[in-house]
Amino acid sequence: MKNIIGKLAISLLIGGLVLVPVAPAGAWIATNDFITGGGWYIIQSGHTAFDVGVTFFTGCGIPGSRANFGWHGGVKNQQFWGNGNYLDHGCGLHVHNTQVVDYVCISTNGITWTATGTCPSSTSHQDTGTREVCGYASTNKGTSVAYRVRMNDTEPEAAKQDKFGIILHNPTTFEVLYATEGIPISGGNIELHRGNPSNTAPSGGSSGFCDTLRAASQARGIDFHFE
Amino acid sequence: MSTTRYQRFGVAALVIGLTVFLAVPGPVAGQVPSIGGLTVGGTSIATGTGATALVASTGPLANSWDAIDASLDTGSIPIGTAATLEATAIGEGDLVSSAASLGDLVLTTAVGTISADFTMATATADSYGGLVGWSEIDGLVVSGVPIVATGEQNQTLVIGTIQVVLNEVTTAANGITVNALHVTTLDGLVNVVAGSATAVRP
Repeated sequence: MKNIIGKLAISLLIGGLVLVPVAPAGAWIATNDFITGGGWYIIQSGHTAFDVGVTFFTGCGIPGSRANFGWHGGVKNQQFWGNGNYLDHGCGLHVHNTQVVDYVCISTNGITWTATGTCPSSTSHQDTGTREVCGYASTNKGTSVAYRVRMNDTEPEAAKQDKFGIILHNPTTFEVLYATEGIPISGGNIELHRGNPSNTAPSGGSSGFCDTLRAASQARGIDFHFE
Repeated sequence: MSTTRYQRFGVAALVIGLTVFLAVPGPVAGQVPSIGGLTVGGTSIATGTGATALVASTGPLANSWDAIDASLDTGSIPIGTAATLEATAIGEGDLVSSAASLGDLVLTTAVGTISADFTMATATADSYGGLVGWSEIDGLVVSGVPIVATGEQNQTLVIGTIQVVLNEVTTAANGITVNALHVTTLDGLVNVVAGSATAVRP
């Protein structure tokens, strides 16, 4: 029995190692477009950090609670652009963007950065895809946070398969404070907009802030379940 | 709908309107219609009878390559509140699209209460002639009566002395306005639009 467990452990380890090269190393990339949206969802077990003992905001992220959001991001005239609000009705947590510091591409028309290391900007109003907007936000619970918001536009709109997720971090230590996702959202719409001439990223591209937050949340075993 | 009727609605809104939410691109000079006596997209926050209150309005697009936004935790007018207000207007060159959404709408009038978990209006106009708009209203309750949005344009119901129009769509030669939820009372004292998006053809 011990041998079997040992072999199983080795197999799992190899499996993990096999998976690693598929995901390219390096930072996510900024993309020259916009994503916008508003909606709501019911927080589900398996899609909240409350499940794994993250309870920094007391009573928040509890399955069955309703969450409302309005969020958007992009790059505009060589600056990161966007704004957003989020409300967890279970505990009354309001989150309001104060500064967008990164905007990155997760997937476009099924081409995922994870699988290919590339992620093209949107060039059609009908494009589908996933973006992340990252930055800082205030809350009504006495603390400011860093945030990573992931938004997905899935067509057709009538199918109601768009997705939204939010992870909040301590802005200094990047400890995960809160996380939920709606996959799909219960109501609302998220739209990926093709780029226009104002869609120019900062000279350095992605600031790396989304990557920093991603690493912190993954270290805690927390990440989004869609891309 | 003709331009004349389009503007008539605007006058009505000016007189008694409390327009809760407006997201409006107006990318081309001279093609900007008016609502409430204001240039569409003009941001104005005012309260009181006879005033038009635009809460979380984007203002007009500077050109068809512009992108503008408005976002609020909460918004209020004398008879109500809403949360997570979001408005965006995006120009894509030959296409402009706007969207306005809000959650937790509660309006308290002398003749009843109106609430909605979520409302959203979207409008898109392209230079090839396409005008598209739609709304979503979830969890609407008027004076205790739950109302299901059918998705049809201009779905109109009267509950007591409260009239609600869902997915109110107004088209003109050069653009489209979609009001997710338009509430009026038959005594004329209340006129509120929750979630309004306008797109003007570039």
